[in-house]
Amino acid sequence: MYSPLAMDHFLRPRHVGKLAGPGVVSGVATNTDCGDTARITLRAAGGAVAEVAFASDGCAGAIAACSATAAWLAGKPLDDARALDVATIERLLAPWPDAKKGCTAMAVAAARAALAQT
Amino acid sequence: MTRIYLDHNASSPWRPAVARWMRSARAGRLGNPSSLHREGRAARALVEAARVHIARRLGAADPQQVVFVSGGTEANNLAIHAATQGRPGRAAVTSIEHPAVLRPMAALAQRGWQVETLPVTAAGQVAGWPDLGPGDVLAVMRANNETGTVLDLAAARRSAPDAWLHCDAIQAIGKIAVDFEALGVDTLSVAGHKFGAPLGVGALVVRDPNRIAPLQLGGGQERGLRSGTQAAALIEALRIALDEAIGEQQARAAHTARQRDRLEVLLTQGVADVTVIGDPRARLPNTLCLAFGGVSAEALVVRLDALGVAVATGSACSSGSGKPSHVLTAMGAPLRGVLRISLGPDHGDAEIDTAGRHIVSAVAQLRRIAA
Ligand SMILES: Cc1ncc(COP(=O)(O)O)c(C=O)c1O
Repeated sequence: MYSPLAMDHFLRPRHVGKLAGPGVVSGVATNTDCGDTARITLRAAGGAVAEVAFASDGCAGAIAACSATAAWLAGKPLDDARALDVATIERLLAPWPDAKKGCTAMAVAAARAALAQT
Repeated sequence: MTRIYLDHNASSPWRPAVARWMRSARAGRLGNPSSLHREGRAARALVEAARVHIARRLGAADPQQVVFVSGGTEANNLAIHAATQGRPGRAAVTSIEHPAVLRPMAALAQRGWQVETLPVTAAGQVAGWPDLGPGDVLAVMRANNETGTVLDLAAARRSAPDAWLHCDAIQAIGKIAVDFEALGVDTLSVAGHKFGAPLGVGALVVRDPNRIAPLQLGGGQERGLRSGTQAAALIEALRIALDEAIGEQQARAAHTARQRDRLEVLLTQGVADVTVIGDPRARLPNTLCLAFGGVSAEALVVRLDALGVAVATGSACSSGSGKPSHVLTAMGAPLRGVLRISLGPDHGDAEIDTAGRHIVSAVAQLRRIAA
């Protein structure tokens, strides 16, 4: 059901964890359909995403979406990062199952909530 | 990679004797059991011999009480249809039945039947029996597919001696004793693929075949109760699997329960925040239903699949739908992180230990990702 890249993100997720310290911002989101949650923490420096990490108690789709979102954000200039949308992540992980659209929406919402504070 | 298959409540692979039969030249040459020629007569003889065998194995007094159908869903639909023809009336159904019982009951409710859904305890036992009389219908499964809870059919019968009692015994065959007469039920559903027959065959045992009206109309096979050419090869495979499953049930159940308990100990001792769901005093010997706090069951199943271990979330039917299981909801059990592990008849210690290790490590990994 998941693409090989999505499975890879799920089985070997990138940027797992929680950043702390000065300059770290955090965004959280919940998938109201199933109760899964996601948190993305990031630190901006020099006008770009210097560090990013995620945590999620969600399904394989949620973890894959968060991992791909974090990997996409890492190193991006903030202006580019703010253009993040669901379609970008779903294209990266394509073909993305319709039943898992809530997962990409959650990952992107958590990222946007964090970016809004930068 | 060698696979460890622990999802026998969803479907159990063909038994070797079934596979030998299905691949045999004879199985491939059977004619239509209604035909007059030799090939047809051979098929009919096989079907009728299977009916006699299966009736005896299931404790039905008369082979004519056995109606061959395509599987569990059809058996349940036919039973409920048979029990509720024509007149509207009263029915009661446990809240933890399979959708193949609940949905036909919901359809009856829309046609004017008064249908009561019976609440269950935290263990999954019916909390209180309704007051039903002649002509009323009561549906109580022998054992639940998600939690393995074995229901009290004797209490069901005592509560409603004159009602039509339907028993979905699909998860019980080969795991615990199932005897039609001893259970005192009016209809009993069987699905072959749950005990090593191929998918596509099942049976409904009916107390009074004259009282049942067909759902499916056509050529009048199965004495008019279920039209459609009988799947002779599959029916013989059903006989072979049922013979073995019931013949070995007692010996296998002890072994299976030992291995299930071994896995339960490994997991409850190896993982923090885990809850065992089901009735510890009345549980199928092969079923282990566990809630792991703080993780998603879907993620666990997908990760374990990649490690070579096949298990299920709460319900194979509702997995992927994202909806919480109606069974767990009715029991007031945890709804998240619920894994259903269902063993087959012959796992060795090493296989169980490997599965246990993989589950412990998958939970740990997911909890690290969630932290
Ligand atoms: C208790 C129970 N009833 C009914 C069914 C439906 O059987 P089938 O899928 O063979 O139609 C199943 C299996 O999915 C089951 O576990």
